[in-house]
Amino acid sequence: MTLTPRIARAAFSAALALLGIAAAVIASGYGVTQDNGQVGAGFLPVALGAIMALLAGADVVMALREREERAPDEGGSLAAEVDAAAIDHVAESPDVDALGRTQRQRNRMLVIVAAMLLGALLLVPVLGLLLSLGALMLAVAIGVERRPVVSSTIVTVVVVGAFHLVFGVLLRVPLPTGLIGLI
Amino acid sequence: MLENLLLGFQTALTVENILWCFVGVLLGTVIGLLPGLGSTTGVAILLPITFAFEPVTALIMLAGIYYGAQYGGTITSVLISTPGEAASVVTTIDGYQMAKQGRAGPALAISAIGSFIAAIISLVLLIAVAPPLATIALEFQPVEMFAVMILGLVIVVTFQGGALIRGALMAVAGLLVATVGIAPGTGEERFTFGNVNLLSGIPFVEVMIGVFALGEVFYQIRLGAAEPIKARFKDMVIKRKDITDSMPAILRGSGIGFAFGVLPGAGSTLASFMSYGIERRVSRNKASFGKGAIQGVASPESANNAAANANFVPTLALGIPGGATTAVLLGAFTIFGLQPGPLLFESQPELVWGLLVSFFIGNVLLLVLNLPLAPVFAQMLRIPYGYLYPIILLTSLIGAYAVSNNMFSVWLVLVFGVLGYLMKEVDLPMAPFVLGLVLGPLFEKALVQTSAIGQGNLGVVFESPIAVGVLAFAAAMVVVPKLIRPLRKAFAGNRERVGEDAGLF
Repeated sequence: MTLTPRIARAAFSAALALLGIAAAVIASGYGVTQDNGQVGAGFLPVALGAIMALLAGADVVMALREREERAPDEGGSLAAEVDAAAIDHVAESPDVDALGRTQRQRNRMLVIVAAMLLGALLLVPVLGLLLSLGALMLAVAIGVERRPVVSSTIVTVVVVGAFHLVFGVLLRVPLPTGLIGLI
Repeated sequence: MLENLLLGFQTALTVENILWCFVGVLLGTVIGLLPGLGSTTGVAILLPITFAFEPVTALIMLAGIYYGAQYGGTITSVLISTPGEAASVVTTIDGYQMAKQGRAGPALAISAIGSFIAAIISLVLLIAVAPPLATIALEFQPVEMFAVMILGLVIVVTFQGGALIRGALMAVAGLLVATVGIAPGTGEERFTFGNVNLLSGIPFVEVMIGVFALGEVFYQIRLGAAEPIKARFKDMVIKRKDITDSMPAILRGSGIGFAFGVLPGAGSTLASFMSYGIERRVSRNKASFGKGAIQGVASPESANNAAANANFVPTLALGIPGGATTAVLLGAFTIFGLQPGPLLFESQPELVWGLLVSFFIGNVLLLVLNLPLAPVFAQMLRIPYGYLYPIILLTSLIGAYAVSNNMFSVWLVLVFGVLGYLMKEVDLPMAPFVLGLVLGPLFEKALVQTSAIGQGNLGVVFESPIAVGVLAFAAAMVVVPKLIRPLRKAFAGNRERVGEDAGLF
């Protein structure tokens, strides 16, 4: 099944609705009112959780009811011109982007970059923060963006060096150096 | 007033503050024009760098990034039809058409001139309006502040565009996230699940970096790269006639921008849309709008710059941010141990007036930078996004670590980055979420105090005439547009029919 924008929106709002209900249920345990009748620690989160569940629920219903995209405004209105400008832009950047990558490829890139980012953060206890993120930068530039190895390496070294200088030396932020303890 | 201005000039005109103001506006311009970076992201990710500065210097630099980005955002709108910020969306309509006709230079120059004039006009108005408003707000008790905060939330929800329900949903989500940590009043732990890092709540800066920087990077990766228009130097010269033709549009845009920017949460985007719409209506040459009319660039650009300055009225005078970037700046105030609000004018006059005067200096610097250097800035667009976004990732994550010297902040950025991306994918508005998050602690404090004043009865709000007036205004913000819209549609339909009959359109 394809995840259309409408279904994605409904799913996200449904998740928010569940989150709202969970928040309200948990917060009710904090006490909605105090013994003297004043608002308790749970009052605001219960109220907000309930309101969030209602609003998100309403958005799910609205998303599922929207069968078709709304017809664009009749010509002449400002909204129509903004739409037209957007359409103009979209028409010039169709499925394939300026670097010749299709939507499917870009989706895959996103997943790879997110996974690499997660991997880099998991490597921080070993390599340290700067080196892990430097490795991430290099991997993204060469592996995902297909940039030349030499220029990617130069850019990475310069950027990591600059960050070490600004944060490590000038601002004296105790950046984690990991097991190898370099920078 | 004169004494205060003098104090402001004394503070802002030190070598250190001018230097950091220059760095701020320069970085802001670059940040504004680079795809995937906007003023909110820029201020959020560069905030940790300013921790070593004096508060006034840090805020001058951060504010410089904010209004510098307004200038920079225009460059991408004009050259590649990709607005850096929502406030520059309208500029793409005529700005991009002008660029396609080889008139990118006049489009960029008029937006720099318009932005400068608007900034100066709005700055004078800001200096005139904010202190008296702060004096009035000093009289506000928790009950009135509670009502004002509800008004702020209502305005941001009603003006953010799109469905009211989705705006309200995001505002409530922001408020709910703000309830994590120790409860004010009772001291009870909420939603911490035994994690000591959450005791002081979910930190604001990390959420901002996650939602705006990481979320945007993920979104841009999926969106793909765009082909830039290469700006030639000879296209960059503006004629005197272009300036005189645009002057009325600039003045109107400045006024409209200020009026909308003053409303908490209404912000620059609405101001730019409104001013463009009004400009087109009053223009003698309606047909040229949408086809490269220079007034179609001058008007929204003046409006969004005036609104950016006007955003500081509620931020400084009431402690309620005018928009997403001023919300981040408000977070910066609190990190430096300052509480924005009416007392700030009395307790920190040097800082407030120094900051306000620095806007003037910053805008002069921006005009000097932008008029001759717009083509040079435009060359920045040649930096491949493939290099740019890994640098943004690095800046965001290291910046987040520097906020608390704790890896928890970095993980938090990742979590909110993913959430921010999903919010963008399903088109949920960010501004109400940010405002909810910023206002959350203040809102709850006012709620607890109101409850204490009324001994548990929140209806005490309705005993204060000011609070009732503010709440009535908030209710009107929701109800009146719904009543007016059908009437306006009917009116517009009649006008178009009349126009068609007369051959006007």
